[in-house]
Formats: sequence, C-alpha cells, structure tokens
Amino acid sequence: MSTTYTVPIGPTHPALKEPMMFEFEIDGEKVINVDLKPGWNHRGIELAGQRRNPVKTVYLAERICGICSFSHPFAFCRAVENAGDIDVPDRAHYIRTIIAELERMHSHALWAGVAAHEIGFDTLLHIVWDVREKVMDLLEHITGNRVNYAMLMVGGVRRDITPQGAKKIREALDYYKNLHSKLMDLFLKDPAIAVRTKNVGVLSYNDALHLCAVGPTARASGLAKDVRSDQPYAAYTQVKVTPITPDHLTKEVNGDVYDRVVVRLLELAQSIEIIEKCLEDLPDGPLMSEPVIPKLLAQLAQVEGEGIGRIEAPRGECFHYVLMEKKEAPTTWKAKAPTYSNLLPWKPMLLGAQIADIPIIAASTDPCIACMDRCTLTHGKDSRVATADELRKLSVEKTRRLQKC
Amino acid sequence: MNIHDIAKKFDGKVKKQKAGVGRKTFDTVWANVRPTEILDRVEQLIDVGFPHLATISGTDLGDKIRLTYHFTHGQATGEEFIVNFVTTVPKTKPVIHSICALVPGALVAEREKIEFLGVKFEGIPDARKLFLPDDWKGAYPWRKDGKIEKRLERIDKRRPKK
Repeated sequence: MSTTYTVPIGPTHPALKEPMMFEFEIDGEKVINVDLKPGWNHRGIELAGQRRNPVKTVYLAERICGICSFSHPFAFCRAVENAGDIDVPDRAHYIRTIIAELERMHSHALWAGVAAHEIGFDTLLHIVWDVREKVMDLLEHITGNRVNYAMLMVGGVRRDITPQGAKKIREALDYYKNLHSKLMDLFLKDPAIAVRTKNVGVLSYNDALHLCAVGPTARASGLAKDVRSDQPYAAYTQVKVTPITPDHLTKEVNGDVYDRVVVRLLELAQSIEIIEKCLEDLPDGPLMSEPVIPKLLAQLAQVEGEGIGRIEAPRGECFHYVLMEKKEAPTTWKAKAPTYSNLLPWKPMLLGAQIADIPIIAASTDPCIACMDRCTLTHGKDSRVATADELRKLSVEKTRRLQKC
Repeated sequence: MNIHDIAKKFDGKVKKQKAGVGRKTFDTVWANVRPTEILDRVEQLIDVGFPHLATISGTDLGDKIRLTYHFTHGQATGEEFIVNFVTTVPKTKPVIHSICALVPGALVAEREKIEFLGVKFEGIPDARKLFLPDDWKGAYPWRKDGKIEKRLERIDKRRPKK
C-alpha cells in the first residue's frame, strides 16, 4: 500500500500569483516528488511576432509580461540591432540603462512584498508595496505609464529624460537611499522571517550550474553570473557592475530563500548607484538612429542575418534570438524569459520541503506575475465593477497630474 | 580557453559585434554541428568549463529543421561569450540525441521543441507536453506548413465582427 498521497496546487491557487500547475507527492508533511506543468498563459506571442514587422513586435514583446515590460522589448531590440548592425546613440544607451534599473527596483520591491505575504507577514507587504509606489509614479512621470512604458524603439528610445524628469529621479533615489537600511533591518533582523527562510528551499551551487539557473536565483547559490558584468551592453560598459552574491553581506552562501532575500535587497542599493552614475554622465545627443519609422521599417525589411539580444532582467538573463531574411517579419523569433530557465531549479528547492513552505519557495525565484484585467471599486457600502474605459480615463488623468507637478 | 581557441576547437566562425557606449566589441562563436555529433560537441564544451544553456531556437526551413543551441561559455568568470551550435535535421526524420544527460537544464528547451516543431529527442527523460495543452494535436505551431495558419483563420472567422 502506498504511504504517499498527491496534492495538486494550481493551475490557479491562492498561493500562486500566476497560473502554474504543481503536483506534489507528499509523505506526511514532506514533499518527496514534484511535477511542474506551465503553459496556462501561453499566448503564442513568438508566433504572432513572426507575422508582424519588428517595430510592431517591440510593443508585442512589451506585453509578454507587465513587470518585465522593459526587459523583453530591450532584449528584442538588441537582437534586431545585432542582426541588422544598427547603431544606438549614446544618450539612448544611458536612458535604456536608467529605465532598466528603475524597473529592477520596482520589480525587487514587488517581490519583497510578495515574499513577506507568502510567509504571512502582511504588514511588511503593505510597507514595501507602499514604498514601491514612489518608483512606479516616477516611471509613470517619465514614460507616461506604470507598466508597458513604450520607451524603446529599434535603434534607440522614444522619449527623453528631461531636466525635470532627472530632478524627479534624484528625489526618488534620495527617498530610497534613506529607506534602504530600514528595509534591510525589517527583512534581515526579524526572527520570524529568519526562521521561515533560513535553510528553506536550498539550491546548491552545482544544481544552479547544471540546471542553468539565472539571475538572483543563481547568484544566491553563489553562481556569480550577471549579463551586465559578463557581457556589458548599453551604459554598463561604462558603469561597472559587480554580480551580487549573499556572501557580500553574510560572509557565507547557503543558497536558501534567505540568501535570495539578501541578494535582491543588495541589488536594490546597487540599482540606485547605477542610476546616479548614469544621470551624472548622461550625454547630449539624438535618441534614435533613425527617427522616421517608415524609413526604419524599409531598412529593417532589408536585413538578412541572425541576432542575439541578451540583457539582465530583474529575474535574470532575458535572451532573444531573431532570424531575419529580407522580409517584413522575422522568420524566427525566440524569446526566453528568465523564469523559463528557473523552472527546473524549482525541483531541488521543493524536494524535502514542508507543505507549509511551498508558497514561499515557489515565490522565492520570483516567477513572473500575471496582471489583473478588471477591478472593483468600493466606497462605503457601494461597490461596482469599473469599465476599462473608466480606468483608462482615470489613469490618463493621473499621468497628466503627475507630469504637471 | 579564449574565444579563438574555442572557435578553432569547434571549427566555428567568430562574429564580432559592438555593444553599448564606447562600442565595446563582443564576440560570438557560430559553429555548424552534424546532428549525430551533438553529444560529442557538448561534451567537449563541458570539458573546457560547464556552459550555461540559454535556450534552443528552432526554424522550419521547408524540408529541414534548423536547431540552434545557444550556450554561454565562461559563466561567472567575467569573460563570458556565446557559443552557438547550429544543426539541421531532415523533416522526414527529425531526430537528434537529447543532451539532458550532459546538461540537465536542457529539458525545458527540448520539450518545447518537441511540441512546437515536432523534433524527436532520443533518450530525453521526459517527453510530455510542456507549454501546450495535453490534448493539442495535429499542428506544430512553429512549422511553416500552413496548418497553424488554417487554424488561425478558423479562429478569426468565429470572432464577432466589429
């Protein structure tokens, strides 16, 4: 007689922020086997991109994920620029770097909140998500949107950072600098967090290496890889980035959930430094190599060759490959998100874990989170569902308000 | 081992590319590999340092399927470069050996190629559907044989007209 039983978690489950199917084989309270089934949100975006011109695909790539809505188009633009040998002006390189780092800040803050929530520390979730609003407002001020920034174009960026925008960024950075030590204390000195995260969900160095883990998940296991330093791009050729491993702070590497918290918190401070340096050095000059889009499209339709675009997204290496054969649309487009590489490392983390630790371990690799598609407004006893148009109107009003002040 | 040694070892070409401010050059190795040799080649790459497999990309070339294994060599050393192994398999017999025994992290990329391009990987530890639904039949989405186009047309017809 079997002494184990199977616990399905997903495809939709309160512990998960996006659809994913886990099937756990449990013995008592212990996980002895796990099977993963992704794909519940697979929208065939790569196929859609093989039926469109690269300029349209920039916006499509942006919609692969709301949180990484700068990383995917960034990697895609780099792949196309690489295939077509298109030069990018220096100012655009710096602006790309600044927005990419702002995205990392908001993404890591979002993750810290989710992690706090998964271990039942909801006060901390609200604190972190409250401070995250500052960088979201900043992104909205600069780009016009909280997510899906529409900043990128093949060969440059579409919007400039004005002196007023730069001032806003500096203010926000000061705000985060003052707050950073408080966040470190809240997360790292709390005994409850330590008990729930130390020696939980351990990923060894060898497993991280052999299972091809990326980003903070790999770095927390001591695998010091970071595309920003390994193969510098944009302004990272000038601003040196050191891959952050947990031993920078704790003098040891355990590869557990605690180490993943440490890495992301340290990276928050690193992003602040990078943005400050970029703002200091921001050169003058054009934003795009070819600002006339029909001309750019004609140029792109003549490209023959293949290109690779690699960038360090908040969750790790984001890898795009395009094969272009003098046609309007690329023949092949392969987008590899960081979570794709971090799927397999989930297994060794979850094996041997307690059922109660499943949510925090699953969340510790920071899997990409799907967005809401409608919302309910409540005020006192009245509640009603807001329409998309209403939400859009409110959001446009808020952006205008932010840009005035 | 530097990039030129690697390129020589695998009989590959080095492509120079420029990146970022200061137009820093970075090199990428592109090497053609026979499908029967893939295991040997990956083993040789592991001998000089365990590589990171970003993904495997696949293209339908009509009568053949082209697979590109995107490795990065020298990870976490600060001197990393991309090594691409390009191989083609005939569509009539799209079979290649799985590299999961050498690089366990290749499983996701290989399972994706099975369902999206109909490539068969010999010796793969798990050949089930990954991203597509279990009951998906009949068409490989990334094959350019018109089957998926027909499906998309059928879906378009069912959509309410604006």
